[in-house]
Amino acid sequence: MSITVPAPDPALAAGLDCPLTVLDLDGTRLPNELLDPHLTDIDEHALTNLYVDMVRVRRLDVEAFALTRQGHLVLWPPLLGQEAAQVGPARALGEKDWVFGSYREHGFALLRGADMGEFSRIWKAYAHSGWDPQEIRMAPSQIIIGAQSLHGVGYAMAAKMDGADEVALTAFGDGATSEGDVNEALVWAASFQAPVVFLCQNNQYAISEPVGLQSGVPLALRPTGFGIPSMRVDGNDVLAMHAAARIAIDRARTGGGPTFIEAVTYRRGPHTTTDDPKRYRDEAEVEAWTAKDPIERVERALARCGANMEAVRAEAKIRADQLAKEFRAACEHAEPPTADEIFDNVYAQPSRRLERQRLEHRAFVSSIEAKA
Amino acid sequence: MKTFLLPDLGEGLTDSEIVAWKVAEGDTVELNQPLADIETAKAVVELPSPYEGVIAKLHAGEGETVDVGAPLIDFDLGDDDGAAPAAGMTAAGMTDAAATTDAVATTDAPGPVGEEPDVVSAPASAPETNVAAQAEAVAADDKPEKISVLVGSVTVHGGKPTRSKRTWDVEPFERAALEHTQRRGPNRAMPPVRKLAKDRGIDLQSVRPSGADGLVTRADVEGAGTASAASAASALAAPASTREKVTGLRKHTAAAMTKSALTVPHAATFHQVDVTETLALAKSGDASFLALASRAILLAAKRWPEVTASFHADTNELERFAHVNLGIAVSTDRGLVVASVDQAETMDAAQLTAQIKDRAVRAREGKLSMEELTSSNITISNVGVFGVDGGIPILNPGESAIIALGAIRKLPWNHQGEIVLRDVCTVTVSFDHRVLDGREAAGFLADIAAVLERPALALAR
Repeated sequence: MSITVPAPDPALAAGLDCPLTVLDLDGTRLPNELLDPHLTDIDEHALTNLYVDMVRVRRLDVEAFALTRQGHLVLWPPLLGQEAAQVGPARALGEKDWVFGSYREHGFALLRGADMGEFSRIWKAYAHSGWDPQEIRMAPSQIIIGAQSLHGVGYAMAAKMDGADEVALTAFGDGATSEGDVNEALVWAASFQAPVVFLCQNNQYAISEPVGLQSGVPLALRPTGFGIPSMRVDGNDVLAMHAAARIAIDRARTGGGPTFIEAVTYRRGPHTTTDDPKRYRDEAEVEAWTAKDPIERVERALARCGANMEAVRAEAKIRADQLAKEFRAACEHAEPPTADEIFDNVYAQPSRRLERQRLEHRAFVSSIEAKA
Repeated sequence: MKTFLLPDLGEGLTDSEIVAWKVAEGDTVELNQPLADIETAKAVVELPSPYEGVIAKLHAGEGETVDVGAPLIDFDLGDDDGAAPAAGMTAAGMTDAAATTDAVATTDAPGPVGEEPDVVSAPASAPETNVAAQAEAVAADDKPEKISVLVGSVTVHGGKPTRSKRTWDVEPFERAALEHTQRRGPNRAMPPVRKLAKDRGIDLQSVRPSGADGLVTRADVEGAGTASAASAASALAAPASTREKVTGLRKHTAAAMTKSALTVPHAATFHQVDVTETLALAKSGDASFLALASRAILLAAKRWPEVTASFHADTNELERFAHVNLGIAVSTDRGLVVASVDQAETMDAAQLTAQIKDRAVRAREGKLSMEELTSSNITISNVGVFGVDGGIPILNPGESAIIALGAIRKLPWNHQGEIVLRDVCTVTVSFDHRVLDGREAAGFLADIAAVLERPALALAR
């Protein structure tokens, strides 16, 4: 097989000069040739749903952050500011499609239907994967930077071979685009025209390293070098993200191959609960991005539509508070795994050697108990 | 009432400092309301309230360091659900629960698996067999170190992740041979076995290991206990070693010396000096020998000003000071301190005598100000009071030279062409080789020596 890799091609990328936007900061609807045809069915009701989703995602994130400080969770990578970049694409996916995300994809997890009790176990360090990946069609949180892009492409290639009507969306950050894994994934996706969507949430920092140090060109230009079309989208605009994801997913589903979406957004919180972002960025920068808040923007848009914002906010708050309460209760009541369970998930099938080790371990534990 | 225990706010932290309280006792607080700013080794973080209720008691004041797992705040929740500390908040609880569950599971199913002949049977009635020791766990003697990675932490042993050796397919006699060739380094044992040895006062290194891979087993330790019961008993009475927590000045000194020794390239130079005349001067006048030696150092420092400079490695800068702030190393009951006599070059020997005495007295009373403890830019250490001739002192952090004065001894000496008994003292200069080269250090030391040998020279300098 011969593989042709074209040079970076700005013609393959949309939004290089200015990220694609359909909702202005003040909530006005901006016309956009590329995205508009994919938003014709979005009415006030649909926008309200996206709004409530974002409020719930944020509430979950804020509650989990507090729970970490209170000793209930071991660690939490917050997504504050990235709600639209996750909710827009998550709501564009079909039920059978798959998500392969990083460790910050709480919005996807919530909207794919992860059980909060199971979800909390990941961040209590009680479980490697809180949810059943097959059940909600979302792979476990990937800690290795960018590795999930290969998993996503692999799944998509298999789906194509099987003739299955499934699309894989792999979500990662700006830092992951500097990793070999993501570049390899782009090569394979392009060569096999895999039905995959690369969602890069460019939140401006790879932990403490600003994106400008990683790339002199917009990240959306990189995939064009692999022959993959891309879109650079305002990641704080839930409608633009929704439309871009719809374009990419449709293309994948109809045999058009992979698409890369760069969601230009901002991580307003620390990298994780053990990070101190004050050491590497200015408060003014955070404030500037807070002014571009994805949720407030939709509130303004809904108000312009004439929605009863008081009722919408009240409804969103009730549902968000309920979610937070449910998550807190799950965290407080989660039971730690027993050491014996270590042996359960090493192999799919039990092996004699492992069973022997399990017994040796039990004997060892009982020898301590007996002597104590 | 609920007691909130300080959680681990980083990954693997042992304590945190309360920077500021945002609430007071008696305040009513909401869930997740900010209660305090807390500083960990990693960041200052905000603590959100874990409960909705009234603050009944704050267990620590601002500026205090609290251990992870120690009570931080009592909450009055307005109900009577007991005064038990909030459960599930500490990792310790989790470990206990896990251990207990395991033990129960063990008695339920102790038998062999399948019919494979080489499966090791592990009856619960004979738990002291070496079965446990043969398990493939890692029991390195080195203390695991936690290293932060991107979004978590990894525990490493001795600088690199350890991995157990593959032993399952090795025949016993091969294993013995392997043991013989592979065994190196100190004896290893499982943590509970190490604890057993420690409790019984048995040195693990004196026990002959019989476990797989050279592990010392519980039986080995117990056997050693029987064999040398007498020595074990005496060992119990007087343990081979004890450990105590290092705090306060000792801890500070340890940190400062480690930093200095590890970050500064030290070099040193020595000179035996005939101080007979200076000593005579000290005995006849108001000035102490130490003050006169200080004068000699100050005169030499005037000629070699770099000796009081400070090297800043982070910015690659050399900081020079307008004055010589002479640090006097004082040994106190609580440890070593360096007290500064600021602008010492402006003082005469009598003033220096008084100032040095003042610093020594107040150092022993613990009454020196932070300024006096930190402002020196060169240090003099009179190790001679301990009867020794010298040593290579470690620099006070931030300084470029430290002078050690040895004991003054009567030695046969070549004096004006004849061998006579003279008062001789070894002077050592330890210096920062980034700031000073051997030439400067030697020149500085030679100038000190010249004045000590002929105090009258001071008139000319």
